[in-house]
This record gives sequence, structure tokens and C-alpha cells, in this order.
Amino acid sequence: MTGVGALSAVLTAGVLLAPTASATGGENSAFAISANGLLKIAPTPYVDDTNGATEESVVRLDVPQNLLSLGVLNARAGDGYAKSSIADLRVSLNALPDLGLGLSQPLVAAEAIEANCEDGVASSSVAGASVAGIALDVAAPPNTAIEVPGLASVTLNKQVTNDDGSTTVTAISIKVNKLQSLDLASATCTKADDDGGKPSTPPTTPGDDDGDNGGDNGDDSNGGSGSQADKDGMAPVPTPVKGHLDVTG
Amino acid sequence: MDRSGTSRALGRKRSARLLAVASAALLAFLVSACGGGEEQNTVQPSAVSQEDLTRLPDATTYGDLADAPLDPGAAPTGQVLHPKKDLVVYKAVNGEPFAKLPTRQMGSPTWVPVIATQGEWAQVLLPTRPNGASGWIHAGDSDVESARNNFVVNVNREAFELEITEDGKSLGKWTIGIGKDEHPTPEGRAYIIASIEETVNDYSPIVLPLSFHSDSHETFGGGPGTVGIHTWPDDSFVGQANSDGCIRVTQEALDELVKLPLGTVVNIV
Repeated sequence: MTGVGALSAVLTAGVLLAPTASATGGENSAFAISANGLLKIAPTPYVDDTNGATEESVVRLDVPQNLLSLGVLNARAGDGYAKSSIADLRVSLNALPDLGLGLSQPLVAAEAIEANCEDGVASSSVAGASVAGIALDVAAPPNTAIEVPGLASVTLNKQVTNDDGSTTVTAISIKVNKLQSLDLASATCTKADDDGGKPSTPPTTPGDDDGDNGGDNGDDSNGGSGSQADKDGMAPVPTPVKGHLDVTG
Repeated sequence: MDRSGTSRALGRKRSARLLAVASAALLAFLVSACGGGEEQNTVQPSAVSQEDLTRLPDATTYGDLADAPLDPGAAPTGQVLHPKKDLVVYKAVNGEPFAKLPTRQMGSPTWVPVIATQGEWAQVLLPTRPNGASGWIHAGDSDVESARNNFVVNVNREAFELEITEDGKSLGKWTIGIGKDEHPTPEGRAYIIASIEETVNDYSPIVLPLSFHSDSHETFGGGPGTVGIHTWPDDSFVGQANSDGCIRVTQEALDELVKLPLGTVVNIV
């Protein structure tokens, strides 16, 4: 994966430059990486559904190279869903002497990390992942705790029900010596709205004014309305979905 | 679709999964025992472990699948597919997995045009870079919703013209605006990936992002350089090449375009 088609965020160790997750608080949100402590990384890329369906991709975090390297970070969120993913991550905090790590292995290494939240149901998975050299389960049960004695506590597939009823899943959550926390791949979602964000006046098929949106008026998961053929087997007229994407004007 | 074939397929798929050893190599796949020859219809997808599935990048407009097979330009089939769950995308029938196709694109249900079929397999166009990216999915009834789509959009950049056809018959033609010389609207077979009721940009109430991306803008605004169809607040674009790659249309044309199913092919010449 190259830089083509993706964005970069500029962050510096110890300096918080990006907007914080608490800024607005859409019901559904996601971020790929967040750190607090000696190394601070604002949730990046952070997306929520304040403006409807949103997606972001980041291929570079300008933290010092000896602390962290990555392939790509992705996050997307919309009505009733959120997902984040990380490819090719390596975090080594040995260069922060106050943490006292001195590990011969990276603190975290992973080929891929994903967190997925769909209609209030959360899941996560990892591939080729390790913490301090300890290999991690591909799909650990919710809230699987791993202790690295004297060093770090790790929670895999961390799942939390929030006060507003939404669910947050964090694929890997690490705390080091009470001085550093690191959250990798997080997704928060609610159940999808009943109306699925339908417009007030659904468009009709050209030359077909029956106004039937394919007989698919529900808020079925995995794609919302307009995900079924109509009774004649024809593709449905799409329902515009609130969202934001900067196209090439 | 052959429903009985599908159930057999699933049974074998489960068995294969049980036997599959989580491999560190993405390229690893199992060769189906019934592959090839006259039994192509029953070729089943190679088992993909959850670990390998996690490794596969999502095929969205933000993706870049440099290894994707390119659109061979075969005659359109008029079929579109909606994945009911994240589907593995393969380089060929029972070939190497290289991506997963999510159920949504920018909040809309994913619908992809089918450009070739082989048994229960379908070659579909993908919404990622590079332009013309395609891949094969196993399109059994449990995996996908299938539908007919007889609409096609033809864009002629030289004539600044956009035409909607149904079953080959013209439903209307409109004069449009296209990308300026330094940021041309890319040529080829694209498709409509989503229908966005735009909440931030105010130049068009609805934006129809296409599967194609600008060759000259790696990114644009906060997006990945996606080429879209949309209207514009004034008529300064009509018959002009002055956009950054998007196809600008009149409100009258947009009113018809938004009725087209997702997955509708947009041929840009």
C-alpha cells in the first residue's frame, strides 16, 4: 500500500494536534490509534456520524520513527455501524526511557488489527499480532486480559457498554506502568435508526412511477435500505444516505 | 444460481475451514478437490482463515488494490450484486484472495456490476484505485443479493454529453462539464458506488461518487480523489472542461441520475 489515495496526519510525540474524540460525539464513531501518557496521539483517524456516513484513511503518523511505524490506518462510521483497522503496525517505546521498557521485542507488532461494530454488536480480530513478543489470539473472547508481569496489562477485544447505550470495542488496549496507554482499533456503535436515514421524498425509477423502493423498506443490517432486488428482480432505486465525501469537484 | 450446489459448497467450505491451518502467508490457499474442467460450476472458494481475512484490505473508495486484475472490457452482463456479508475478493476463480468487499460504501449498500461469470463465481468491478480494478467473488445465494440493472450511463467528454440508456434505448441526453486539461475526468468503465445526501459540501444536494479516481489528484479536499457526478450552483460548467475531474451535470440531469440503481455502469469515453 502506498500513499496514493490516502491522507496523512502530522503528529508529534508529546504534542496533541488533531481534534480530540470528545469534540462532538456522534453516536457512531471509530478511530484506529490513540495514545495517552508520555506518547500522546489523538484518536486518528477519528470519524463519527455527526455528518452522516464518513470514512478516513491515514498512511503516515509523524511520530518519531523509532517509536512507531505503520502501513495504513482506516476508520469509518455511519448510522448503526463503525469500523476501524490498522495494517502493519510496530510500536516500540524503548526510546521513552521514563517508561523503563527496554524490551528486546516491539511493545506491539501486528500485520492487521480490526474492530467492527454493527447495529450494537461488537467484534475484533488481529493477524500476526504480538505484545512484548507474546503472540495474540486471532479472535479473542470479549475482554480477554493478558498480563506482561511488571510491564503491561493488555485487554483484547475490550468491550464496553456506554452510558448512552452504545457499545465500544477496542481490539487491543494496553496500559504500561500507569504511565502510558495505547488503544488500537476502536469502534463505537448503536443500533441503526428505524428509518435508516430515508429521505423525505424517495426518488422513483425512470419510467416507473410506482414509488416502490424495491419492496425493501426496512432498516435491515449490512447495508441499510435498498439492499434487495424488487419483486421483478430489478435493482432498487437507491435511497440517498446522509454523509460526506470530498469528490473532485 | 444452483441452490443445491450452494449447500454442497457450504458444507465443503466448512470442512475446509476446519482443516485450514492459519497461515502467515496471505497467498496461501487450498486447491479445491473438484476444480477445473466441466465441474467449474462447483469450484468452491478456497478457505480463508479469520487471520487471513483480517489481513485483507477493504475494497472501498479509500482503498488502493494495486494487484487487482483490471477490467478486461468484456460485454456488460446487466447483473449487479450486493454482498450480504463481507466477501473475499479473489484474483481469479479459486485464485489468490486479495481484498474483502464490505456490505456498505459510504453508508449506501454495496452494489457492484458483474462483468463476467463462471458458475457461481462473478467477476465484479471494484470501487478502489486503480481505475478499472476488478475481482472475483463467490456469488452463491447465501453470499449475495442479485438483481438486474438495465440502465447504463454514457459520458462523451469530447461532446460534453451524458446519456442515460435503458435496455440500450436513450432516456435522455444532457450537456455536462468535465475535468480541466490538467485534471481530466478519467476514461473507462466506471460505476456509481453510492448515493450521498451531502452534509458538508453545499454545491450539490446529492453526490454520486463513481468507482474511478483522479489520476492527477492523489487526494482532494479530505477525500481520496474520488470522481463523482453532481450538480453545481451555477451554469458556468455547462459544455466546459473546468472541474477537477468530476462530472458536473444540470439539476435536471441529476434528478434522473439519482434514480439509477447503485452499480449502474458509467462508460466514460
